[in-house]
Amino acid sequence: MTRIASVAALAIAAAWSIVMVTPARAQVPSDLRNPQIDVAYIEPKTAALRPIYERLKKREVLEELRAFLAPLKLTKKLEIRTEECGDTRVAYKAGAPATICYEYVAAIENAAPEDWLPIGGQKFVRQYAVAGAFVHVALYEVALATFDILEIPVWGRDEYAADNAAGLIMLNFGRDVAYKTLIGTSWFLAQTSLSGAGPFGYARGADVGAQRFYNYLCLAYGADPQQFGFVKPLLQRRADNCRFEYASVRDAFLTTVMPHIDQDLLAKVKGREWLRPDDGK
Amino acid sequence: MKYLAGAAILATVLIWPAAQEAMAQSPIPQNPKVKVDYLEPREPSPNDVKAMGIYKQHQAIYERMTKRGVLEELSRFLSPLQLPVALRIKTLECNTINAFYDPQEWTLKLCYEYFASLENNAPQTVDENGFTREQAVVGGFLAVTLHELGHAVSDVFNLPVMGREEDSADQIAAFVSLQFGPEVARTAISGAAHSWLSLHNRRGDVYPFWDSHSTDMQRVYNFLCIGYGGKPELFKDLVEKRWLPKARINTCSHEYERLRLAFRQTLLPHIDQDLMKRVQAEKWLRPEDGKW
Repeated sequence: MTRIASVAALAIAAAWSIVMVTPARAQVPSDLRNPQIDVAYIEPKTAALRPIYERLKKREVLEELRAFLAPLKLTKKLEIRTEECGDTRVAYKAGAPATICYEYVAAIENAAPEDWLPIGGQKFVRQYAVAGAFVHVALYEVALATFDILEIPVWGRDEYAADNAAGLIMLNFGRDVAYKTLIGTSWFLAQTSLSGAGPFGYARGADVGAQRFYNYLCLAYGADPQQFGFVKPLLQRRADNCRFEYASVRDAFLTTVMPHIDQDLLAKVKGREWLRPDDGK
Repeated sequence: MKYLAGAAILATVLIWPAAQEAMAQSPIPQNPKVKVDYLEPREPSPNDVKAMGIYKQHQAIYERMTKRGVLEELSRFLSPLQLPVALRIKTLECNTINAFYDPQEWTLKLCYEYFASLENNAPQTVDENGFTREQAVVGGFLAVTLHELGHAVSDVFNLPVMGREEDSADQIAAFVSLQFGPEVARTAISGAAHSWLSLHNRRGDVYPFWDSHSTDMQRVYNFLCIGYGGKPELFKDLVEKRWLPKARINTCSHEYERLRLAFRQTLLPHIDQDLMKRVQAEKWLRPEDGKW
């Protein structure tokens, strides 16, 4: 049992080092900084969450995220923090930090497959599930805070819009990144769906993983029916409308968010590899 | 020249209050860009007893709607909306319980079957949740019509829908419902909640999560949350005592404020403010509405 746990811990550590975060000092270029973003790793009280805290901090995940967000022209300070929340998520409050909960990261790791699986004609490995879902939650929380800070008009519920904004970004870094992150996110959402919560559970808002899972599949299929054609049967009657859903999200993003993006810095961000080429090996 | 100018000012000062009064008393015009039409239900073969029963109900609805001038009233209600294209609103038989917005024809298609369903599922007087027959029938009509109008304005004004289109249409319906006084707000939000609750009770615990619509119960909660977020006192009894958990209640004000911001930035520029004030001051619901 100890050996299995050690192997699992090693695999998780390897996954983080390989897929998600590159050593910041070596990799984060000095010209990719966002002075409006502060980052903080808050020490957890629960001992079981401490390894996650230490891994994230050592790998400088938030510094990497801040560099990725360099093109975002924020009008106010935003703090992005990792923290023990007592739950997998804390609802975003106006003016509060964008928070990634250690419990959420633990859930990502718990939901990731131990072995590889064939998904869409490719090997889907544990690393993708971990990296994809982490990229998703980080971009999702930042998107919610950005809508608030920049007073971005959003129709169709902020939570879904934040999901879609994160998905659009994932789709803009090439097919390889799109597969790893979108399918990684979808894997996590499918595994942690609240479909058994009953109707009262839905009163909490957009917390139904199953809906978000299908939204992601629809966004991916709508953006690239060739690459993501394998998800079409899951979408049933909705499939034919996905290209319109994707176009609507893309147009809304271009209209409302893009004016707040520095195009020169964006070109630099897009010119850099954020997931290492040895992903999945 | 000076004398003429003085006379003109005097005339303006004298005439202005009278003109203002006349304007205030003149009826709100229909929106010239909103074309309305009631299509008559088709009479089936007399031998088809089931179809004849349905036809009679549709015919009664058709006659009530034309007599009341529901669509003309809707066109007046929409008079502040500065549409770039002609929007058509039709009532018709669809052979399905539904209502649609057709972007190819810029047309709202409101089905008699949907209105029949609202009537058939409305309580005789009041149900166990406190929803009245008028709220179920009139509010249900307002909710579905405003939802389809939400799709229409989203299309013609190219609104930035970064979330889900169906939720956006619900948000527009709920937000608009709250801008015309407490009676319209309570009727429309309650009607929406009753409609989706009633549908949930008929469909049971079946959740097509792949669908682009939220589930029936999510829609109940979303309408009530927006209502409470915009007018807490008006929806306190429904929301705090019955329907929403505290965690969601705490977010309703923020949800409403986010909608207000989206409305101000994206829809308000397409609304004639003077006409809007007149529409907001008008009494739209009549005591006899829904009492049939």
